Amino acid sequence: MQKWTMQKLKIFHERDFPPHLPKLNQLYDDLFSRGKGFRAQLIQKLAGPLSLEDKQVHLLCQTIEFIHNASLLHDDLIDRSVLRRSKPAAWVKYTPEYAVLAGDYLLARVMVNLSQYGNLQLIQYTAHIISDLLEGEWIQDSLVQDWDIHLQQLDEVHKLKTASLFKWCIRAPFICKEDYRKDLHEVLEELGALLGLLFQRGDDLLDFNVRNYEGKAVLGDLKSGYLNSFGVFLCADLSAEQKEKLKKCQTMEKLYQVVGREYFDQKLKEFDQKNEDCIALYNHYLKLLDGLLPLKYKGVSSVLKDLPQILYWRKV
Amino acid sequence: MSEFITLPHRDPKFIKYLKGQIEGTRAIPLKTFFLDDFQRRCTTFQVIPAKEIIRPSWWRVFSHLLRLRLLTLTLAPLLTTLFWLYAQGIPAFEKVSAFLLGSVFFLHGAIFLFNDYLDYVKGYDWLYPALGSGVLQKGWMTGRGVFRLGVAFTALAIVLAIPVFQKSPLWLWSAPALALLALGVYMFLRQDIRSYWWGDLLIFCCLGPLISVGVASLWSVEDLKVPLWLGFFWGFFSLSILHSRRLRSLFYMRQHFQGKTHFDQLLWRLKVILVGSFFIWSLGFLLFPFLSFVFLSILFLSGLGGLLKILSKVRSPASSALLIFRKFLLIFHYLLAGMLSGYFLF
Repeated sequence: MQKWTMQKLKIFHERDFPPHLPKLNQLYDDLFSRGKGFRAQLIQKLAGPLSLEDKQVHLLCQTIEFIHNASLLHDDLIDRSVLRRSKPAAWVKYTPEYAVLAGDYLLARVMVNLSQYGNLQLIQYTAHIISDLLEGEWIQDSLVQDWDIHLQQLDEVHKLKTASLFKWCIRAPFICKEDYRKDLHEVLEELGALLGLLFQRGDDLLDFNVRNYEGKAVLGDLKSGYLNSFGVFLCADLSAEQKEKLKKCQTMEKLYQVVGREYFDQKLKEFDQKNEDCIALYNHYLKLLDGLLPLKYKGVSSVLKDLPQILYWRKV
Repeated sequence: MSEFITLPHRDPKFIKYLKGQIEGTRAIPLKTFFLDDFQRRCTTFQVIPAKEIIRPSWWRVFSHLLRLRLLTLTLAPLLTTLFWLYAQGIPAFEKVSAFLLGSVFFLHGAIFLFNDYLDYVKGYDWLYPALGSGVLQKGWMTGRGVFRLGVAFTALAIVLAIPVFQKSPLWLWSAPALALLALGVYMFLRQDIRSYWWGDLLIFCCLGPLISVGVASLWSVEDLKVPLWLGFFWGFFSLSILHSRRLRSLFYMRQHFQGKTHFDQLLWRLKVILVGSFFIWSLGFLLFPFLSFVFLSILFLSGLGGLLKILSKVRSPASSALLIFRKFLLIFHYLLAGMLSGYFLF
């Protein structure tokens, strides 16, 4: 498997934002300095086989990181999450008003940068993705404290939220190369959707301390009244009484007591199997993609090949 | 581990996979590519060995396929009218009633079987895999099996209807004609009848006055005020239930949303109000002759109160409060069917 370490691209530069708003720059400094920039890294990896120019790579990386971080600024305020990447969230450290405005400014900056670049298809697609992201966030917010949701509903929300950004990461480089073939983009869209789903489900497992190599705080979603994808899967065969107790769990030990360790492990095994099927489908679509790529772009498949392992199984 | 195969629609193997004609396997369509280009269109199937499919009991499969939960939509107007006729001293429970009940049951089943089969074969379910009965999408039955069952149900409905239509006035033949019209519009024009202005009216008639007045006409009843009243009540209630299902479907259709029916064109809040209104109008029709019965009025008003409370929690089509709302409507439907029948009987 190829290693995912690469040059750290500087996404944010003070000159990108008005110098007379020092708190804004300080906020962005905090925000961008702590992120892993995975989406930007994905674009850099795809840039190689597609022979994108440096300014195109910079534009795409900045765009996706701006959109992603804008959504984080707003999400943290909407969810009232006090921590982001183990540090106080922007709305806590500064003010909620600044967090909203900072997020809005990033999105505005995206539109300025893309319109200066001048690729109309890229602008249209980016606008479409941002609206999907917002729609997903809206619908997800309507599901807080809703304990009767199904996995299918959550998948639809994740298609709008998480998957949108991954679809953008995979399609935007081709749009930059002015390769607009519908058939190619349909397959790329499906690959992006699956990657987004796998990433989200892997992330949801972290909340239950599964493959939590980074030591993230656990049960954050549950404590916020939100049942994530593994939570929904776990609750599927529980009695109403067990579900009530599960809602109130504050620690993993308590959760194991409520559902039983054996039940938890069995459900985890089934969930992993379900996602292995998604990975198998992803690999199948990758073969379809291979058939559509011209020879000079064949390196794209090898970039995309390892992603499910990284995003779901967290293997780097 | 699952296997996948992507087949162009021009490939003869495609239709075999789709209809489940490959022995020992079930092919579940997952995604169709190049929808706009018929020449290149292809579908990805998940191919599972038939013995690995975990199928529930046949009762549960048929319950999903035939939408048994919605059976009261067709049987309630029929049964309550029969009980009313019985209460009038008319011998309504003769052999012909059994044929009528059987025919309506099989017609109900046939409509849903063909609906599922056509949605599956024509690709509607590929766009919206979360909709439909789930029987074909989960591989519990093959497309070929569902089609054959649909044909059998239609044949039984027709055979059982013969003694009924021998007894009925000519105008009652419009009922199956209208049902065939709706099916034809769907099969050949690929249009939901609700996209036409007369669509909801047709549904209202077929699940309401047409059945109740039709049944009363079989026994040559001249004063049709009560059957008409029953028909209006059940017709509005059915519209409420069917449109509440549409509210939920909008969540999954969202990304391909083209506003196919008049209902789809409305704003979200108006949709919810319309669904609630159909229900309240139906209660209005029901309550009117019973206002003197305090107990019934309290029961119906508490149902209304419960409905408004649930509706206030519906924040989006994804909300499970919608599911609760639909279940509430269905349970209330069963309850009222039982109560009305019991009222006429005793």
